[in-house]
Amino acid sequence: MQAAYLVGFWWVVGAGMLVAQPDPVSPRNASYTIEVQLDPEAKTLTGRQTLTWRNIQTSPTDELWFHLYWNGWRNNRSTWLREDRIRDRSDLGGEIRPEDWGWIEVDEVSLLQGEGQASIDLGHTARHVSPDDGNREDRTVLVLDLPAAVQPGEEIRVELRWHAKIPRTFARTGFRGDFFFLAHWFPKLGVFESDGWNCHQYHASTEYFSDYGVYDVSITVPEEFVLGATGRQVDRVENGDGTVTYRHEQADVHAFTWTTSPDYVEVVGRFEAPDLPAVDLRLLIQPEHLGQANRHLYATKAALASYGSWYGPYPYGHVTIIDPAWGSGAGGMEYPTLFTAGTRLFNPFGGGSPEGVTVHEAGHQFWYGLIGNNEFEDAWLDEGLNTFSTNRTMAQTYGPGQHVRRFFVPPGTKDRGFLPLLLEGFTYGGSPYASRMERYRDLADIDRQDTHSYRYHPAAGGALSYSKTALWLGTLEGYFGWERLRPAMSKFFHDWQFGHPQPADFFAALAESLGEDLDWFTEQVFYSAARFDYAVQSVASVESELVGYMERASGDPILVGQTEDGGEVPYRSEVVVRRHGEGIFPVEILLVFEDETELRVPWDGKERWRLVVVERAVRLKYAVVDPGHVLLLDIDRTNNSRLLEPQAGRPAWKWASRWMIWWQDFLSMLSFFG
Amino acid sequence: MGILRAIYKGLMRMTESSALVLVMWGMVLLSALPMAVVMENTLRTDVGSSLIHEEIRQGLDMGWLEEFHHRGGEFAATLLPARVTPALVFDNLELWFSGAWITEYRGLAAAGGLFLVFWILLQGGVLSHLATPGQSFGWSSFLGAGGAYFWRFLRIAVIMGFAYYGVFRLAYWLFPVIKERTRDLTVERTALIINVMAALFVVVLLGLVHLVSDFARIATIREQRRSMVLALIRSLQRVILHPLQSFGLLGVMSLLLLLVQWVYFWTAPGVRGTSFLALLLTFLIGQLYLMARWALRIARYGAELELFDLWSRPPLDSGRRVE
Repeated sequence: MQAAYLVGFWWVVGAGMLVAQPDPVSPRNASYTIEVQLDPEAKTLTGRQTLTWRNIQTSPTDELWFHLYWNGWRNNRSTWLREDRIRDRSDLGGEIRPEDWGWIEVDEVSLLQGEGQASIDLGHTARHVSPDDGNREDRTVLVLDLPAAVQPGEEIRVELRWHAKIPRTFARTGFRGDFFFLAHWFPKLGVFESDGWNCHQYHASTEYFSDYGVYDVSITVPEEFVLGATGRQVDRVENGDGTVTYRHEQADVHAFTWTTSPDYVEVVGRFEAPDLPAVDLRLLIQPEHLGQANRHLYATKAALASYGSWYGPYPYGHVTIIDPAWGSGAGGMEYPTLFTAGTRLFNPFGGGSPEGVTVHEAGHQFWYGLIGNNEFEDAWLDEGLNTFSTNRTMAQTYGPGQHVRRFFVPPGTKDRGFLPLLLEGFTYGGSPYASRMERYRDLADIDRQDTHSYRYHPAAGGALSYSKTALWLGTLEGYFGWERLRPAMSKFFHDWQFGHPQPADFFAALAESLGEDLDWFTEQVFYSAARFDYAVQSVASVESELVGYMERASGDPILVGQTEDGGEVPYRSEVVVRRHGEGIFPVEILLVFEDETELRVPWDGKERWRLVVVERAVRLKYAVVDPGHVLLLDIDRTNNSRLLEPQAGRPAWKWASRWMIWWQDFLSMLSFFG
Repeated sequence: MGILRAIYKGLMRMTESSALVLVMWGMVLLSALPMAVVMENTLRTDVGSSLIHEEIRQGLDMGWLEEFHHRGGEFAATLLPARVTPALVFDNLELWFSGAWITEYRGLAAAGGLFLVFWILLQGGVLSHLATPGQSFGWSSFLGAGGAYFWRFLRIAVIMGFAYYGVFRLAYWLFPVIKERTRDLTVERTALIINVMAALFVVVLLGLVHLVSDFARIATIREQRRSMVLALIRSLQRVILHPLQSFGLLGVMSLLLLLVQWVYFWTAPGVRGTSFLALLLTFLIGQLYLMARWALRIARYGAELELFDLWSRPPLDSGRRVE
């Protein structure tokens, strides 16, 4: 329903004017004023916050639901840790020590009253609930009872005092040495919807959801620490005790994140492009990566330019790029006006890192920062659209990425090697989105995509939310053309800026803009787990001479062996195409003949197989189903074509002979042990 | 005699016994050929009549490669980009150091194990031939010596196999411990240096085991030993008594090998060529590299023989043999 706030707003709001703009561009119904102190030795935060919340729904509520995200790492019985074990991935990579756990405790909570009135203590009403799985030992959702219901349009103010133990990094959040990255670090209100509070427990494979508001945050850290945070710095006060307090403000965002470390080096830049608002770039980079600073800035600019021109401009006028500390696990994550990239020593240009992650996380400023979908339920709405856009931007800006092999993996660890080597000649051909297939293929049917993201198999989130969405959006791009899909996505972007769209809103925007009913498509890619696989099963092309019996004028059959006129014998070409998967998609069948003439046969793709018969004066050379590779969800490209005469010999020999040299070298290497 | 002189003499022995280089290169070629034929057939079958062949003529389309791995199982998964480029030398260095060829590729481990047995069979011939300079190469004497020493060398290999296993176990313990102990480290360069130092430590241990194995085999031939335990003890004693010479020799020869690999890496053709001539040239340069690799291995055996003989010689002023 927030769409009412949004329609066409960008056409009147200039970029870079947001902070100065007195009129809100978002509902601003959940705003925070926070004071927080970091104790870098004890790894703790102590905070006090005032939440101003306005009920923008049409029904009242007498409860407040808060996320206490850090309690997901309170112990091994939290839902987050339980799910993390199922996906066989430990963010810590080892045993969790006592000092590694993280938690947050609300000490006091009270409802503020008007001038001269005493506040009302709500602490005694606090209780933890587990709406998703009933896990009684999960303490990531806190519910407070209010003394009176908050009516539609009514505003309340709640003050909370809390303290928290900073974890060793889980889910990009935590510390490593004196590096701190602090996301979702304070008691954060859920989203009150027409049917009640939407406040999920913290899950291992999904992210966040919250309302837009104004953040005014004062952060106290040791004075030698450099701070990066959401928003712009509006004040800096030296406290005289070796600490300094930074004050940051940002309006019309749905989260506030900060990071601090004594090691950061600041590099600034500025994005300027015709028809797009300028953006100040602030890069906080590790000293050992200074040589890659321009690569970070350039990639960020590429994202701002691509996304800005495709969907709509970036409005905030500034963005902070964080290069997290080595081994911190904080890389590759998006937050409003701030994101983490992540790179390694020696990363070669052309291998896609750090460019890929930088473009992706910068792109999240659009898909998730400005389109505030519910990542617990529909993570694909931001991750999928953003992955699609990332791949498009990368292909457009850098061309096909080359394969990078990393050597020197410390034995016994799951780390990636220290020493990268770029191998030219190994790229994903055919489509900018082809690299997404590998993750999708194995898990294609593990869950329907319309399943709420937090209910996906914990290992499937990447395959479905990121890869599958990018592949089916790429399929739509191939089917309708970018010149039609781009405006459709842009319409969705404009309609739902600063809102909380649902999947149906996205499909409706697409259908409206494209002017076509997409149910046939979404039913398969979104509301089912169908696999797609079209194949050319066989090709044949033989002289179409008449043999056997034919009718004489008298009606008696007569045996013939040759054509009667003695003219040129045509070739009868037969192609059998098959649909191996359950998914149905209209495809084209291309027949190419020896004289390079082509025949394109449209096929609705519904039957399980189809025979195409053609008689021509020349033999068939090959046949291809879906020659334009429109259907990117096709899980087997190799079987999409078939030549009359196989030509695999040369490449097979080439790669096998090269492989043989490796194998000989391997055997020679083994002589060391004999 | 210095290390360099031993290496020089080893190189001389190698050139005098160049047939050994050809024999070993040829043996490896023949050993690798069946698997290469299987790989060629696997590739040919997978690509079949598909037009995808056009996308894997120059470079490798990564999308197809992923499909190939998906369809082809563990064997197909051994075809990786780094292995079909000159970077294969680094890939094998990584496999050598990490021991991943045993833990990750059971099929390769089995095939490699068979080759090791084969190599152990040939080592007797190689060492006997090197130990008697001037002797012309003959298959009967070569294979005869191989057979004569096979069981003894196999016993050495089994015993030292446990030692290698111990080193790898140590490495698999050490690096995770380093990771755990440096869990607050925020600088990758420092982490790299620490890991390189640890790797050097492991490499030295691997070198020690390797040297003890080599000198035990040499002692077996030179002193006609029957007890391999005693041969190993004797070998260990000599390596400990002459650490600079033994490790220096191994170090210099390893650097020479790395140099050869580096030259191969920079001179071998990339993957773009598709003509028959380009494929042939790539193959031939690869074979030249492998010959050079074996030449160095044979030369190192020759140099180790020189050192062993040197250690066994009585001091000039003693007037009697030490042993």
